[in-house]
Amino acid sequence: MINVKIGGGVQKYELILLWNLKHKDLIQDLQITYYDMPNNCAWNGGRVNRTIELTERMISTFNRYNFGFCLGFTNNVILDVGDEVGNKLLQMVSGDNNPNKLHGVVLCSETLRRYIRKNYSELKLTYSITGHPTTDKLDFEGYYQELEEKYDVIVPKYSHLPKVLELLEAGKLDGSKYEILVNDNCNVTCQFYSEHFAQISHLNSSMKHPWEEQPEKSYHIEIKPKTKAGPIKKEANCVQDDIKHSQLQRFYDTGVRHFKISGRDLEDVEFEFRLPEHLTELKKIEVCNSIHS
Amino acid sequence: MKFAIVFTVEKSQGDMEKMSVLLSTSIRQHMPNVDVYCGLFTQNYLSDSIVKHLNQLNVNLVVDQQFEAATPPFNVFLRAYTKYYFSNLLLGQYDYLIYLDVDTLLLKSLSFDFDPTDKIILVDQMPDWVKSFEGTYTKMPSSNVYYSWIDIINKHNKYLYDLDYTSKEVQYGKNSDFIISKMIDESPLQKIQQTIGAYHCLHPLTLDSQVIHYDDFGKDGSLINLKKTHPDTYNRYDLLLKRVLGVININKEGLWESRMKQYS
Repeated sequence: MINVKIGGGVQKYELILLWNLKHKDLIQDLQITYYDMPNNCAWNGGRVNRTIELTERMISTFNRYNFGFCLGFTNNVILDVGDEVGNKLLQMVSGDNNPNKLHGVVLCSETLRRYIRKNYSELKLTYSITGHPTTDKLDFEGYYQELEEKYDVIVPKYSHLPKVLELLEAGKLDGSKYEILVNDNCNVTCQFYSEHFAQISHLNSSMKHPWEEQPEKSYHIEIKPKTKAGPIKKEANCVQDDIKHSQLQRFYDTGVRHFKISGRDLEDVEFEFRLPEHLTELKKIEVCNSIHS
Repeated sequence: MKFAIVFTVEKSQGDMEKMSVLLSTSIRQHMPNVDVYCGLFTQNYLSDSIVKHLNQLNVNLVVDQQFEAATPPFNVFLRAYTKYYFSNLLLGQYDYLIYLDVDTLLLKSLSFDFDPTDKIILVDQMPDWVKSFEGTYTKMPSSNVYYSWIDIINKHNKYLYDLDYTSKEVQYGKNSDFIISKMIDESPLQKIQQTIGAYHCLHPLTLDSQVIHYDDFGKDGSLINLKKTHPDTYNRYDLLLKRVLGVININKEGLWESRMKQYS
């Protein structure tokens, strides 16, 4: 079965409920997990915190429909593993609140990973796409094998996909551990990849309501390092880039069954329109595969 | 084994940026050839004169990010980010890194009687009197509580960078310190009790001390212990403070000395 992680589980909760009813047939053979970064938690990352609240009722609904829910704790500098909001959220998705064992956390901090593994061991841990370095000069095999040892699921950086695919096809990586982001917002050539996420991490750590307090910085954060030659304006250049069908098929053939659809900053209408397209695409792959086999 | 020293500074708090010149001067005095990196990660860029001093002392200024310093937990974030940033940037190029708070002074060359690349972590155990003092503000655990102002960052412990206990009333990050202390106790890391330096009041300085850690000039005791134990060194830095950096060092017993007397 294909597992699909979809962004906006809290922010677009009402929309999702309607959407699920409308597309019942489309999602029936898929294992859906929603994710979001709620409650202005200091551990959140990936995007600037906005005031959205995860409630017990939401988790209960996700449980009833057998959906998973993942917390996006992707801040790369976790200052306080005892954070009350963070721990409250972990309790909301674990224990009796996780009867189907589908809930988890998306993260990239090693300190937080160790803490959650020890205290909330049932939660599935996904290595976030935001945790990768800006540079792509890596020993890819060693880098991803180390992540495989630590995480249940790993989302590779978009620019790593050709190399990861090559290693998967060569049998050097474990396909069951990988989650492929179908629609990435980040430009693969962006020189400020981890820097952008570090800025978001800082805002989420240092402000209670960063979205409301600094609305002008909410979407795109300017990074303007000063060099000996003087300040250079760096601006994160974000684009929407969908992965090709043929490439998805190749990932599937290596055993990859986890896919992710980002909802980052998508308008509701866009979200509603794009989601069925992506899911249809993913289902096609499985149908093709069953015909061939 | 190759190592580098890393620290961070910004022009936001009183004489903080001037402390970086003192730190760098002390590094160069005892370790003329070691690579030193100073992270400049905020919009509060250093004064030109400070940049000039650091350049003369052959400190690599690494300018990146330009975080906007705003709220109280920022210093905690900045220190943690500095360790995160340099461990990602420099480990590999160096076998290990030594992180120093900007308000430290080297009294001699840094050397260790243990393998700094092994599964180790430097810890400084919280003394009983601090626990008593802190206990008046918050519930203290009965287990160990560690803090650290000098970290050896190697591939084994590079993630435990948020251990930073500062013992002041209601502190941001307190829960983290308790939990991280517990994680260290339960980890395979060998704990090395910090013996290479001296917190200005917790561990009285001796002639063998390699490092002194002081707080803001004139407020919390500053260099008072240094004057008693290393008068020549003290005179040299006092001169640098007065004549070059324009800082008057008020050598009085500070907050921590008074708290120690009260709670010991």
